[in-house]
Amino acid sequence: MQRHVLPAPTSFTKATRLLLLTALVTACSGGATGGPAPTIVPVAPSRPSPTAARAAPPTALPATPFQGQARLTILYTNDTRGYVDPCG
Amino acid sequence: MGGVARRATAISYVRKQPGRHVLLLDAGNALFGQRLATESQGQVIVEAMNAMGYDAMAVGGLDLSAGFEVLKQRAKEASFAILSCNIVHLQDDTPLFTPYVVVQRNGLRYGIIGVSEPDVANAPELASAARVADPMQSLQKYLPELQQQSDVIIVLSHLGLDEDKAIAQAIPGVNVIVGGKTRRLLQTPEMVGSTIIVQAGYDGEWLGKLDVTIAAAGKLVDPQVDIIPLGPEVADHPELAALVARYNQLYPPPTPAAN
Repeated sequence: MQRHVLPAPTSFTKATRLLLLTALVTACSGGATGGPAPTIVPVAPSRPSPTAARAAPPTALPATPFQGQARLTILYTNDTRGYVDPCG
Repeated sequence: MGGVARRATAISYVRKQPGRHVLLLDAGNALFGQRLATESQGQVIVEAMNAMGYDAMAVGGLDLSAGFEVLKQRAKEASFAILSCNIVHLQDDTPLFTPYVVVQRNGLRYGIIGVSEPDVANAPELASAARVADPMQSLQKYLPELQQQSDVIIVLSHLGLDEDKAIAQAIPGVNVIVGGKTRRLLQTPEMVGSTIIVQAGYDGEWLGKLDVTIAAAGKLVDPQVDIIPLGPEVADHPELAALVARYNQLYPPPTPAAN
């Protein structure tokens, strides 16, 4: 299948990029030469069940009730097509 | 670029940011395509998505490439919802997969519904047992009951960007459409009325991030999209790296033939 050539993303804000770069240790698959271990926060273990009736427990966010305004972040992927690593 | 271990690191980082609700969603064509995913019949991907904490994904045509019985088995193993409101049994038009899910975060209810492309009808085994109903009619069938249970409505669509725009124009009350199939890297959200449409490329090379303020139930304002490239500057998450290594042992890559 023909791959579309896409421009390098530019909307990844400088602040976010800096924060990520601060938090993450540069590493790549060929970089087994050492370096500091990354500081990783374990992913949250609690997930929603795949039914409408059994809603997800809240994440580690403070249990404050909705008071008319909230911030939502949706992380999303599509067409990942079975890629588990950069090589396939 | 890409890989589940890097994606998990970026997700973990975002989850650490305080003061926000986080949903993790996929718009389909996730489970098959590459060697490990195909040889494990999608198990490696479901296990990885479980570990990353996905909330829901839509069924795309590729997800049915091993047949719908395999996908239904994967759905049982998944700790996230595998959604399609328009793949229905031939006999009675009931959905094969869960049509929608309501996810709660700190008192807010997020209604998430999945819709699949008509091409899904070509999937193995499917034609004898199921059909793909009209996406728009199927959404219109389920959305009223979902809206009654939800403060925010999110459509996971594997229809393509043009169809997503048509949905946004035709169906009021859809707050966000996370789209796929057309594999567009939308660096700013497509706005149709007040509906926000996003899409994050292909092959897991990027992680899309949409930040919005929920001003009131059903009213989202100030959408901001970041496309996070998952290049070598993003460290591998050790849990996911170990998972991939384990599956590579279970399904070793072919070795070059000895001369």
